[in-house]
Amino acid sequence: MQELKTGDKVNLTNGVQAKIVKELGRGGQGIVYLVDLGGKQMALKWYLKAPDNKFYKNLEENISKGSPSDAFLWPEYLTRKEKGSYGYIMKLRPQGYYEFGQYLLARRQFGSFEAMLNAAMKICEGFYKLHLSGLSYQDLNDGNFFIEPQTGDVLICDNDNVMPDGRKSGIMGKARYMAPEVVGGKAPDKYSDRFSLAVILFMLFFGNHPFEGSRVLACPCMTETFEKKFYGSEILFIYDDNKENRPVRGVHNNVLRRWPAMPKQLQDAFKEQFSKEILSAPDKRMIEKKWKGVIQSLRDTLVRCPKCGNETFVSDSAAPVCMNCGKLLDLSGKLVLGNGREILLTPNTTVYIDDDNNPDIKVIPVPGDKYPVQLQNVTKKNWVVETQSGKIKSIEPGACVPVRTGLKLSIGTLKFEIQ
Amino acid sequence: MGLLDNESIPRRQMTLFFLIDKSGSMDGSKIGSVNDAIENVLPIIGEISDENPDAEIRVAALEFSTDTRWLYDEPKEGKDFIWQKVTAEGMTSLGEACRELNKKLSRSNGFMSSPSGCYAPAIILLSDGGPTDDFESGLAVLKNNSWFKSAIKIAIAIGDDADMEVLKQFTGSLEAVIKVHNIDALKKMIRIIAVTSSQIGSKSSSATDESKQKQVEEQITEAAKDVAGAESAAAPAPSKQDNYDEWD
Amino acid sequence: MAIVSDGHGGERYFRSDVGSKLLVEITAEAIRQFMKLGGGYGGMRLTTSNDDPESVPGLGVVDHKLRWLFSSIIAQWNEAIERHAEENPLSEWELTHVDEKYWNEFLSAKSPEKTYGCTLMAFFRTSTYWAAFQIGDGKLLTLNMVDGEPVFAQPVPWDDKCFLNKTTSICDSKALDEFRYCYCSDKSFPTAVFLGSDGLDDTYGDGELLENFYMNVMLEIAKGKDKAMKALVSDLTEISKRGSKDDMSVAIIYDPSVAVDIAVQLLSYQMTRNIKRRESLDSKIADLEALIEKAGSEIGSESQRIELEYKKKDLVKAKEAFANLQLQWQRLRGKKGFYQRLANTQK
Repeated sequence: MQELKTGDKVNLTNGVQAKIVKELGRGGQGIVYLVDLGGKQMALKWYLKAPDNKFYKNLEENISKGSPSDAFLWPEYLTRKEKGSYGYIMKLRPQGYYEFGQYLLARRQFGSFEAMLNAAMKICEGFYKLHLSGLSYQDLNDGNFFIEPQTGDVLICDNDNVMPDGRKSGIMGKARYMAPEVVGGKAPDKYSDRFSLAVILFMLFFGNHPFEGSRVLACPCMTETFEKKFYGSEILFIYDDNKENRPVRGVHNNVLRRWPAMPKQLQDAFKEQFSKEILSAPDKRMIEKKWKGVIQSLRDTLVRCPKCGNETFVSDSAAPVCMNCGKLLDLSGKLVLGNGREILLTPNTTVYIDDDNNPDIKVIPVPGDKYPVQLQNVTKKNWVVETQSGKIKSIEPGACVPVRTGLKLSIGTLKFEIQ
Repeated sequence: MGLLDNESIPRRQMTLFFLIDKSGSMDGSKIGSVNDAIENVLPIIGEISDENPDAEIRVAALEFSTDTRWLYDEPKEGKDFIWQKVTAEGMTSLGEACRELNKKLSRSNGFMSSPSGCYAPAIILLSDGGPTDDFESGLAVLKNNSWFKSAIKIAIAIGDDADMEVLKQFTGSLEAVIKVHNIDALKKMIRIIAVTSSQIGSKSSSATDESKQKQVEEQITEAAKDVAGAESAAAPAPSKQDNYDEWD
Repeated sequence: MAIVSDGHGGERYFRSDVGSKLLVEITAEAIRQFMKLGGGYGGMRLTTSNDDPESVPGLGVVDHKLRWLFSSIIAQWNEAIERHAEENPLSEWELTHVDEKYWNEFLSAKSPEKTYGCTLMAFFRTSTYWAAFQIGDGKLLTLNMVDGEPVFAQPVPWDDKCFLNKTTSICDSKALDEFRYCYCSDKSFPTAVFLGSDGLDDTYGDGELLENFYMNVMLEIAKGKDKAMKALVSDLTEISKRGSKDDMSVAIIYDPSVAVDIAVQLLSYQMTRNIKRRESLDSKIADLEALIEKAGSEIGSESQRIELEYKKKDLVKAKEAFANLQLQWQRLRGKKGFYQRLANTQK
């Protein structure tokens, strides 16, 4: 074990030297230092006990492959094996991002549901890209994610355990986040990643663990034997039809409060993913793309209540009720796509057309105008509008379209009708 | 030998606070009446304290005009409290008075001891006008104070110029504000309110579900009906003809 | 281990007697399991739930383990009271004595936790570590003898939400977050531990008077467990009458093999303290007398006159206090003789 001190220099494999500025934090595996790299500030993760050569090789491969998406704080340079260990260089975590665990303990809160959905979307996107490039994360837990509470932007850290799908990193994660088959001894892969992803998403939305309910808590001390049972062989979802493991009053306060308030489609997605059948059939687990679809449909029903000003999900657009003030709310209209997708509109709602986190439409109130609610183009490209009489108009970025029934709005390749 | 000897069992403590507006407009008969009434009620509070085997009532007084000043730098037993005549001049720094009260409603460098073995304090505010300083921020500080939150809070509005909204904000309800229109009513109400708050405030509370604040409000509202020129601010305003105000 | 649970007073909590009894049973069994299954974590100095798990190595693990224990206690208590509520519908007595709105709450609530609401305080130790935890009010004191002097501490952090007659409770919706704890595995164990429900600290406060009370309890314990139990049963009743009027529960952990020795040390300490206090009162009285005499010959302002009045009152009080200390001295001397003889016969 070799700790580094301020002023020490470590040699990178590309011949450059990094100078230690100060320690930023430490965990079980190693220490993270602030380093100076040719005038640029970066972070160095330095292992306290050097993992084996295979691990080193894998890091080397990941560095040459490059980051799958901007969600990852990806290893960028590798140090030589020196001073009894080695490490890798990555970008610094920017200010304002907090560990996911902080949100679970209610020390941090999302600024809005919009931000929460953005975070969910970004995590799915990250895993989608990761799996697309043939890698799997292997060690997914609440310490790997850092989230900005206002925008919902996510950074995924500790990417040194990322391995080609099917290869075993040898570093065991936390049982609470492992797929039941991995708890049972199988090597992690993209399927087990998908299980962990569903657990993380559940915790993001509901603030408690999907498998920790009354049955698990009957035991006052979690031992390895119990872990194997409750996260492995006898795993049981807290909202399974089998009611033996329901959340506990006084303990699982978040999920008890949020579960009934969240849209049914989200409840159904988790009920299905965490059903006995899917739990024991890893290849049937929902793929990232499908999760993105679920999140998108949640976004489509998330509006700001014109009465109380809070965000609400609208489960029934024919009789829209605000989940905060309990009153019926006036929808200004909706955008309807040919495939049946409907995006609900109220003043001050932000609309996301595709599955990234860049807003596309701001619904703005224009008091006194003939059309008091309008759609502002906040994309970088022109929209095309066709009126009912067949006139064609181009809507530049920043310009607005009234919410008027019958207008046909083309954004990129998607063609909506305003209703 | 036993567990009882060696140490006597202390009585629980209840502190009664007077917050007295001594701004220029209080000059003359108003401040005179306040001095007179409080001086006379102190021995009665002393008696209530002496006759109560469970609780000891201590008194603290803060006067405020342009500045604020505690009459003593610690609360004193009612019977021991020697009243110092307050004279009126200056502005109405009620916001500053709130900050000052907040400082003393505390265990460290304040007037309060451990909440174990204590009753919530009672606070009586007397004012004839409206604040001339930043009352809102002063009150905001005070409203975060646990002692203040659980305290019995009563205000006496002296004359028609008293800012009822401010007094309501301070006590938390209009029912806790008593309006007085003449010197005699002022003296009587100071006495009634100080005595009622002391009696209820120093009583064990588990006997009833109703809060002490509500009990005091009800009793003084009832008592005010028998005092000419006094009424609960929550009561409907008396008709104009009856509204004799010697401070007009 | 030692556990105290105090059922809430007030009509709303009309089955809090049952709630607290069940909670003590459940907690005892949960702690037993926790110790058996290896809930400990080695080498930690005294840390508490107020410390930051990121800056205290090992606290993250301990925090997780203890929170799991608390979660388990809450979960099992929920089940136990639900079972009790199912098996014991409202009795004739409850229907006639309890306000309708409260038995409606009992009948309509998805879970009847409010009806059974109570606090919890526990201490437990193994050969390698000790821990204490609490939700709600009441005071847990540890006693250590340092160079023959008693040092009391309240190692479980206090929660300011417990204020005057308000308390946190096992029946709160965020009960888990409201548990406070301390944990120590550096093999330093307190000499004795005292758990007292709020009826006691509402009587004595949470400072010196409460510590004096527990010192007296230690003196009784030195005479033997049975005598101490008898004294507690009869005297707590009287103390409650004169003090808080609240019910009182006390649980104590002590080592009988050193009880007499500690009693002698406590008395020596109290005697030394008595002497020091008389000395300081002596000089205070002298100062006050000098001031009063000096002021007597001068005609001062109104405020000087008032100050003089208070000085005179202070002097009377100081003299009273001095006389009390003299009486106390006699008693302490007698007691110390008794315990020294007890110590000699034991040897």
